[in-house]
Amino acid sequence: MFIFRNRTVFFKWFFSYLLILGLAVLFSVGIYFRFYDIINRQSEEITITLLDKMQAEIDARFRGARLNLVNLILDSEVQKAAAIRGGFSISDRELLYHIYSDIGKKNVVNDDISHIFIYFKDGETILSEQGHMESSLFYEMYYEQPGSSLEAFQETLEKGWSGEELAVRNKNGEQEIWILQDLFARDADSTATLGVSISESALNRWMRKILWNESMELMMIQPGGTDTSSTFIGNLAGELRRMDYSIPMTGSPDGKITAELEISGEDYRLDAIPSPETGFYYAVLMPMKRIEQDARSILAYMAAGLFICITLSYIFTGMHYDPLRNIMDVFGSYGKDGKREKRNELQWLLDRSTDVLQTNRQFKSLYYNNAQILRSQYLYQMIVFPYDCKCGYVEQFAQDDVFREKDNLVVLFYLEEEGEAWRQTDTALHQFLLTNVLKELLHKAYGVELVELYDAVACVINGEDKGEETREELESFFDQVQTFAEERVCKRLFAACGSFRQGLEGIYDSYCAAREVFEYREQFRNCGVVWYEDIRNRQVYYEYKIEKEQKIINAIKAGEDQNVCRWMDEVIAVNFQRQEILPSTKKCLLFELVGTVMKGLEQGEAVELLSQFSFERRINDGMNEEEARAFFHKLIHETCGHIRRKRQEAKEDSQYIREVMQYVQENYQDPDLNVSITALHFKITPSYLSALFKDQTGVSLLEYINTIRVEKIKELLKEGMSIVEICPQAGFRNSGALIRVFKKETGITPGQMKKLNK
Amino acid sequence: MKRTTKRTLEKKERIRKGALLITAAIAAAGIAAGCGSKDGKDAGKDTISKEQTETGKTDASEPAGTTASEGADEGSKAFSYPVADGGTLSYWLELNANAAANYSSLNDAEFGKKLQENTGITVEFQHPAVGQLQEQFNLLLSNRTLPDIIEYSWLTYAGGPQKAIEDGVVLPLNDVIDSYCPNLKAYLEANPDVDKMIKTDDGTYYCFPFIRGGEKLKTSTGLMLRGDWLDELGLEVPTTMDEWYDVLTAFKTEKNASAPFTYWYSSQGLTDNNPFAYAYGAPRNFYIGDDNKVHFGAVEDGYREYLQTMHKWMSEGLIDVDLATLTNDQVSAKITNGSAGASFGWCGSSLGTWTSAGRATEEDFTLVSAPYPTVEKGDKPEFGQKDNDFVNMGCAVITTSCENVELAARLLDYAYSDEGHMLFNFGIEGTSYTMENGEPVYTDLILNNPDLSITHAMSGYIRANYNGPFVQDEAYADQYYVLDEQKEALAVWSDTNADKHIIPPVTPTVEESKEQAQIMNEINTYRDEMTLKFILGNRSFDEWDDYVETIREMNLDRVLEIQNAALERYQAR
Repeated sequence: MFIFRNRTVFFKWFFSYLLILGLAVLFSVGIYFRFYDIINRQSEEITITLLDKMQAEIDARFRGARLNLVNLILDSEVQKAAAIRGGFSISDRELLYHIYSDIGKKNVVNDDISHIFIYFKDGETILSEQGHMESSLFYEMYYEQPGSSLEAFQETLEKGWSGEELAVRNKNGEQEIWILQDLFARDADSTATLGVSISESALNRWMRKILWNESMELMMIQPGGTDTSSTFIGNLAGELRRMDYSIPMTGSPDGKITAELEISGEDYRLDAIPSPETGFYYAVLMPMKRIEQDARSILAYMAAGLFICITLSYIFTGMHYDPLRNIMDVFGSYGKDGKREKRNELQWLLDRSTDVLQTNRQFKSLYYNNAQILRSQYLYQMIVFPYDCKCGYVEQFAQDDVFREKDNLVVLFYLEEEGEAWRQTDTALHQFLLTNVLKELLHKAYGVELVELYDAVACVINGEDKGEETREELESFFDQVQTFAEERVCKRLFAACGSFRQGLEGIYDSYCAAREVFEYREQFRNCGVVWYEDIRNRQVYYEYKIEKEQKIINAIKAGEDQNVCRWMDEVIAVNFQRQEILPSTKKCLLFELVGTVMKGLEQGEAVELLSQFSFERRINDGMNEEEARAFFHKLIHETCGHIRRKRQEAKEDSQYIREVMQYVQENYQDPDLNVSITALHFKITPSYLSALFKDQTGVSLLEYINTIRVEKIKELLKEGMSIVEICPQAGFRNSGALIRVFKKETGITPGQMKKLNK
Repeated sequence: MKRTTKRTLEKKERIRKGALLITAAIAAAGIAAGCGSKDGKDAGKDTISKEQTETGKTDASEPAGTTASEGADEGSKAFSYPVADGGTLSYWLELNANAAANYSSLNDAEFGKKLQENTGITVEFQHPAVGQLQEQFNLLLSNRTLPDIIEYSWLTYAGGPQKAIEDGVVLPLNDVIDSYCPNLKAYLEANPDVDKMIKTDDGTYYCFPFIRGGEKLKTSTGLMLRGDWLDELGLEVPTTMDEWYDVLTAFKTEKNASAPFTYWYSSQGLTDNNPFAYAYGAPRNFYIGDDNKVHFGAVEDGYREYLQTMHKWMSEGLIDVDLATLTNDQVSAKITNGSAGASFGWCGSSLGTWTSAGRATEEDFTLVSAPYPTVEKGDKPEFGQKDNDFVNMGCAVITTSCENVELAARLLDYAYSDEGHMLFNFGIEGTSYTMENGEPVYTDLILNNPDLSITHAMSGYIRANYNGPFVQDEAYADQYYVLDEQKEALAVWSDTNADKHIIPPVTPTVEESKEQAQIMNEINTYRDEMTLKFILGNRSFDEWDDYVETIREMNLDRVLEIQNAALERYQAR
């Protein structure tokens, strides 16, 4: 990856991610501790709520049990039975039966209460829901167990009670809580003790009903005295008993106790409150693990949540905010290759942007070039065409042009090697040379623009015309350029200077002047700079008199090529030998001469020959006297030869046609006479005969035949002959054909003609 | 006339040989199934009666099996278990506590699986929560849609079974039994007494009954006393009231028993059948006297004599002084610890349980059963505890919601077939029982299961240890009671003329029931109160007439009237 190659970027990237992660972790840890605190406090509150609820619930149950006892105490039959001294007789059994039935009927013995009983001290008998029996039997049936004795059992019952709780184990080893109450409270004379027994399982059931969380434990603890051990009721009772755990009695003023203890390798927090109702401590055992677990689970959720958030935000930003990809999409959509390598996006992007920048640069240079070209075009327009202020094109480009002000001078530069003409291939080099050197020299004092023309480089120099001073200054510059050109590229520079003119309009005028000077470059080959002022007054017309031309034309008509050549040579020699004559003037002369030849041809009725010549190509500026002479000699020979030949042919053909006419006039009465028969007679092809006839006479042979015949018809019609009679004499087989031909020739029918004659 | 003779004959044979019943059942099954399948009920009926008439004509004394097997050959082609295309039925019943100990549903028990396999019918057993039978039964009836089959003690239904039919709960079965229940039909034809019991007064069949298939099964309670003490004191098992007096006195004086005779007095079931009251021919409840009328024993002289005896024994310390306030726990304790030497209780939970408990502390501890005592020596006891053949429990009906009545009938009728009988009583052959010398014998899986008690082990495979719509087999009881004393006890206790005196399952009308209940509630309370007073001596027997008069004033006659009317209707069935 590109990013890994770039170390700084990589580290920045890496540390920013690390920072985000670190923040998340810090946040989580902070929240963990906060939550641990909250949970701890909450669990305390829960514990208190739980304890309150437990107290309310279990106390109520105990009160209920105690109420049963009170009901029994207040029962008159019980009172009566208790009053019986010295044991029960047989007849007393009825009373006992009623009490027994009452206990059964009231259904006081339910799941919660395992036994409800009355101990009669005198008879040492017990009446319970299980019936009336000796206390020994009751003991034997329900409470006998190793380590206990009947005596102790009875002693306990006789002790004197006023609603205290007593923890007792029954025969099955199950813990029971007895609530004992003397019939007459704490009275030594009390003859009966009443008891309600609540089984451990019932207590456990009640506690389970209160408890909603399985990991917590509810306990009922009765602290033991000095000689007895504590009583525990609840799921952990067995463990606590084995540990011989005793509640620390150093509680807060309201009796609440908080302690921490370890049970079978697990830490618990114990919160307990004493119950005045039952004499038990109600305790909640909360595993420390659970508190931590809650906090830890929150931490886990938090961490997971944060991680998910980070991941999601990363995914979503990746989905919806990806500048890199957006850029890549832009590049991709404009790029030539839409597909890109996924693995090396950055590299790809880098390449692409390099491409684009490069293209941009190319475009800029292209634009610059185009601007140059445009400017050149503009200047070209300015130079080559007369200034038209209405032309928006020029106007637009000349808006902020220096050429508007001051004077403008157009100079045409021409570089040539010894004997060699301007070559297009050298343009760039020349242009470079001229542009750089000229600009270097001139631009300090003048505004300079260069435009390449087809045969030279035009330079527009803008500056104030100070007459001779300026000319000298410029000349010195041109000399330097020339020197430079000669040294570097072995070329010679020719500068054709126009004259200074005011404003944009003046550029064209200056150019025309320069162009005029340029025409003279052959003559001024050795002087580098020529000014328009120097050549302005030169002779520009050639000498070719009209009489001479007429003489030549006549000679051409006559085909006298000797004379024509002589006279033409004279004309060429006279003009070409003049120094001041311009090449263009020479060219004009040559065209004039060609025109003379053409006139000769026209008058000599040899116009068809004109199409055979293409003069433009053969006549050019660079033609010297020798070449011109040769050109015309050849032309004249061809022309005169042709005229002579033509004259001869025409003479022969007319003789031939006269014979044909003679033949037609002699044979027109033969109805079979036509072009084919005639041609057969003269042993040539009918088409050639027709062409020849038409060529010589202007009408076709068939028309000629018909004309002869119609003339005869007219003649005969005048004689008053009928058409039928005329037919054989005018060479027609029937009157139909006669009438048709006649009408075609004259426009009227023979009948009409006849009427007209009358 | 001939048919009646034949039936009587068959009945006698059946009692002697159980196997014959099965043959008859198969015979009837064949006939009924063969005709009932396509031709319809009427055709079936005709064929049966024709068949029987022919049988009667040809030879009355010929064993039923011969003709029956012919019928079976014809019929077996038409119908046989398992049912071909099966089907599903819902079946509501209380899950017996012994079964509930190991199974949450009969579907899980081997019995349920085998039943479905054998019949080819899928049964969805539904059970009310334990201990909530009555509530859930009432709830069930309030639903529009009932299960296909409900098993319940239908005589307990308010107004009796007839009312249940009128209420649109129970489907009358007369046509159904004729068409689809060849096995039950055969059994009922062979047992007209049972047939009478399971009908309503107007002769409508409504249930598939639980039937005690033997005398031993009908008796379960009786007197028992310490056999080792008798041996030690050189005494015989007492048979008369005087002998009992002597034995108890001996127990008190020689064995120092504080309560020579004790029993769970407050148990209604026991006290209703008090053997000493029976000895004087006066149970405290209703019975049928020699005049074939219903009597109320508690107002008759016999009952006074019984009370006088009890009072005497009580005052002499022969009876537990705490009799009135006893519970079973105490009785058990007193019997096993030697405070008591004789008692009255059940064959299983008393005789069996106490024997094993007593032997834990005293090696020689034995309890022997004593017959129901008489006043005169050598008399056959006239009264004794005995159930009817048809017991008011485990009685299955097809409800009006049942869509496939035939299927339900086929399922229930299966229990009365030979194969079904074996399944219900003995379970799966090779697993829960094997055949030895032609008799089914429970395997060790049942009798000596290391993990389960006998009753629990049985509950997975059979229903004979509780109830259900089938005929209970005597062979079950013979093997269920493992102790010899128990086996003997059933024989001893059942040897009475009690059949004559027990009231068959009569069905008073709704109004009658209500009225009777009202009156009897009052009478019973007063009777029990007074009984105790007389026994304890808190009332002099001079006041006996006042006692009788008071009960009569409580409109006892009206109750007797109702009872007699119901009995007459029953007998007229």
